[in-house]
Amino acid sequence: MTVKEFDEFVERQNGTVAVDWDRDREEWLAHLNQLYSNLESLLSKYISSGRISIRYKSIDLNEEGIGSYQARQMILRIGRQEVDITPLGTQFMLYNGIVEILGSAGKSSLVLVGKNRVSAIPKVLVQLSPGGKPQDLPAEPLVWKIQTRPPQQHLDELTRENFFQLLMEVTNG
Amino acid sequence: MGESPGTPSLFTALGWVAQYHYDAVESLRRYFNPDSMGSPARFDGSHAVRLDARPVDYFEETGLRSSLAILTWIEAVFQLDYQYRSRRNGPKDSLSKAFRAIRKSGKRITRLDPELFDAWTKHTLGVNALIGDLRNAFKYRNWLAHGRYWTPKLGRDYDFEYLYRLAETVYRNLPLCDLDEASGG
Repeated sequence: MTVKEFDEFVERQNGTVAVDWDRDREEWLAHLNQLYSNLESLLSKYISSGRISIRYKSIDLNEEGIGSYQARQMILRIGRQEVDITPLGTQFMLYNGIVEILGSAGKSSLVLVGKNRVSAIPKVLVQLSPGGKPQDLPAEPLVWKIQTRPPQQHLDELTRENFFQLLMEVTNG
Repeated sequence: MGESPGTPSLFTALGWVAQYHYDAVESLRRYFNPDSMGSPARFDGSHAVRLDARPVDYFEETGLRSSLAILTWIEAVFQLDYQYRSRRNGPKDSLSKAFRAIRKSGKRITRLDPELFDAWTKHTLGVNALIGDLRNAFKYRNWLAHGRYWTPKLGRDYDFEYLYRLAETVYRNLPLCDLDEASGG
């Protein structure tokens, strides 16, 4: 350990912005509630006629930084089929949150990303030079989108048609 | 860059991992779907044993194996980039210089974590979040590769699809050397 290395260490620690984990968790849970409201609205015709039922279950999540917390899992019943819509968390490098949709025939996922993002692969601005400050991409409002299956990488809008299609795929409908 | 038959580019090879994974999952699904070919059975040496149970564990197992394949691909990409940059007449940027210093230090094996990841975070800008996720993902890789005999503390779940996207994020965003040239492909 040299003085120079220690100087760099002190510099790095001072340059580190403190993360407000409580705020991150609350924002994530608010986005999750907003998603569930949206899905209930997309399915309202079937829910009101009793052909699809919805219930919620509290599940435990544990994420680095945020720690342990509870979130709601949505469970859809469509006749004999059950579809679990399960939040996986928000602390992912690739997106701001992910929800897994698991049916009897497969799984899919919804991701929380910037409104204008069209690819499941994020853009990262990387420079081959030390020093300076990394450039940040401009922040955008976050929306839920449907991920296509690799090797396809585009994100589909969460529309009624796309969500119905997704439900049919995961239930082999 | 050209691609001769039988030697896929590294990126093509990544796509093949995904294709293989989904074909394996679909094969299992059909095999255990009584509507498609009747109830499957396995011959145990003297009897045919019916396999009626829903094979959730088979799907999970396939996901774990495919995840390991993706993580080994990521490791190969970083190691090839290291080999290329650390050549005597390699590039002049500070990352390549750091790699040459590592090579000069005489270590027989250069590890992805900490040596290569440390050099990437120290000598490039904008990679911290990505390298942080990769460090965590490689704890998962170590668990997969060493017999899964402990409970990994990861702070998040990893699955095949996430790791595939992480691999493609590395490939599309990091200023890696010409990997196919480095691999002799």
